[in-house]
Amino acid sequence: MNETAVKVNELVKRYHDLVAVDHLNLEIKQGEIFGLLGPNGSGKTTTINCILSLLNYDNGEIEVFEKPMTSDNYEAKAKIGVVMQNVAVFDELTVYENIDYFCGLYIKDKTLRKQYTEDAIRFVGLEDYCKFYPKKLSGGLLRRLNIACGIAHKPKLIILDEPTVAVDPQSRNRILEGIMELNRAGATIIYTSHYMEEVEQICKRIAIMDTGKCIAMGTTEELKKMIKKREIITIHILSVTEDDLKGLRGLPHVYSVTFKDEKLTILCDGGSHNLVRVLDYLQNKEYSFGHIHSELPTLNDVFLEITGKELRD
Amino acid sequence: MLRIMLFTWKRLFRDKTNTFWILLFPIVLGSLFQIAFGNFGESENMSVIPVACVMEQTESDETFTKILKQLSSGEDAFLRVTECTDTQARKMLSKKEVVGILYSGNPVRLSVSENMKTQKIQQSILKTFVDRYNMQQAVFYETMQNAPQKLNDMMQTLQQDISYNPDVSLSRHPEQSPFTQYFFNLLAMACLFTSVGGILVACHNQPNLSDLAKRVAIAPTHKPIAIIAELLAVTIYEFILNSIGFLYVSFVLRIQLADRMPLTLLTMFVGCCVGVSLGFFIGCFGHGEQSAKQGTVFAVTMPLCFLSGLMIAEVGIMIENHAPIINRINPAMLLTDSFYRLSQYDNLNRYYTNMVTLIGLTILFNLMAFFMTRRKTYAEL
Repeated sequence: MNETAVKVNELVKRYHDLVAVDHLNLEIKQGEIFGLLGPNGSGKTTTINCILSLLNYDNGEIEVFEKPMTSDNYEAKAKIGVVMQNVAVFDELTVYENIDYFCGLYIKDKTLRKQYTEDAIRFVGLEDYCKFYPKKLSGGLLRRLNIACGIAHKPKLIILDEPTVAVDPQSRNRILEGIMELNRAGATIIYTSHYMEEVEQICKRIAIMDTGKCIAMGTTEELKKMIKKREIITIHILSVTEDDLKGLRGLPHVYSVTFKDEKLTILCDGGSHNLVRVLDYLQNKEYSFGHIHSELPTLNDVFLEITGKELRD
Repeated sequence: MLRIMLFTWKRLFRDKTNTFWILLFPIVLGSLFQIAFGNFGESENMSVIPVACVMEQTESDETFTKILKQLSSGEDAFLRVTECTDTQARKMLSKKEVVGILYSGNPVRLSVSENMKTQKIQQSILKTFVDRYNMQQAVFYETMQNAPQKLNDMMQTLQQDISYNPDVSLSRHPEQSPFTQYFFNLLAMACLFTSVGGILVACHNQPNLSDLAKRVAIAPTHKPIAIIAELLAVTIYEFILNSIGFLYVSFVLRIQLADRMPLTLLTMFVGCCVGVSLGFFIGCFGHGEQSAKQGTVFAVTMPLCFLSGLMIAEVGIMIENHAPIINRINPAMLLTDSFYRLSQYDNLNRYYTNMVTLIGLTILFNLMAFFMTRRKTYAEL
């Protein structure tokens, strides 16, 4: 499927003097899981609200399923499911009633709605809590209910805005697995988060946002290739002489060596067997060392290298 | 639309805060009113006033006797007359068997006891009766002496029940306690408290007010339909709660509120419409938490109820004398007055005017609220 699910062209949204979204361009293909990654306040939720036609914007065009998205584009709206950042359910309705109610805003057929509601309950694993009121649910179960309300009508495009905030690891894994399952069933997913591990785990393509701008876009591998850093080697060692630090810098693919607080950090820009070469060098110099770590760069490293600040700042 | 209404009813039925303010609070307050004022009604049975009559063998005794007989007979008698001597009458008064002693003659005199504090209103009624009788008797004798040819005209005039207010006919419920007015105020307050429901409608349909509203806004449901369905459901539900409160006051507390049940219920329904619309309007006004908006609603409705005389009955009268326009547009006063007129008046012209004003206010509040919610997208969420 190569048809476009969402196309955002030169989107600009200002809140008085603050530019929340700055000339943003996105093209999300049908069937992909697209991640919008960025720190809090980077413009992810504003972008989502513009796509959903909840917010008006100052410039740009938005198309959903190749038609301009407006607040009265009910055809497009019927194909969209949204899982809000904050739990949005009725406290006075039970788990089953909440899902049934929101599903009913899309599905008029009673039999089909019943089936979809039950499917959604099974999907999020709330079978044992159907008659519970939201106030009786734990944070994780509440998030699952929030998801079920957003996806019960089996939408073609699902937008999940930070669905795992304040969720326990068990529920988080279940949610992430569920998202991938929805994608396998044919849904296009837009997933916003500031948790890079999650985005890296499930998204096929990622746009990294900062101060309303898209600073990088591509697959995880493509993003990581954008930066010089390819491997980070960390070794706990008591002391290293300046000469040996120079020697390490001379090794192939090593472009940065630092030693601080008994921790030697070596950054490599590619190649293979970098760790073996570093350890050989240190053994030849008769150094004894403790823990050794070799890590590939994360999206945080990508963000750090492009913006000069941590993703979680 | 029906589905949205059904779910709205479910939610309202389970919403304890709403049930408290709309149903329980007026019931509790009504019960407290009854405890506070109930004794007045019992100690002052205003339907029949026991009175002793001492005939002093004058020319006018015959007429006076006839009038007393007329006033003490039939279903709507308001006097129970015991004819006796002066000594017997004084004994009866001291034993509080009668409220006062009437002495025939020209003029007729009234003697009451200062010790009967709880029967002051009945004493006042007797005093009014005696004053009026004496005035008419004086006019009669004067006309007979100075212009006997005008006697017939004068008699006709006296026989007419002269009223300064053309609306005022004979009271439909003369036995009604004056404190019933507070229950009319209470019903009006209960109607206006339905504005809490209007706040809910606003918060569920304005994406800049709640995440729930965002969820509704992104669904392919037409916004005006969703709003109208919810407004209608809230109004009907609150009306049912108010009607339960009304039945409680009428049949459990046994307060005679009105015998025009359909019109009274219609008034309550219109009251709920104006209450819900007011809440919807306030809810749509600006940002703010639902609880803050509910606080605003009470901050608006309680002063309106105060001005209508809920706390101090004289406030409404004072406003009527000095700034009647406030009473003509204050929904609490319009409702109170409507209940009162249904209970007390045969002529309902003023009642219909009140109803038209209330319906006008409902339309105005809804139009203003819809004007504010007409936006399809928002500058800020």
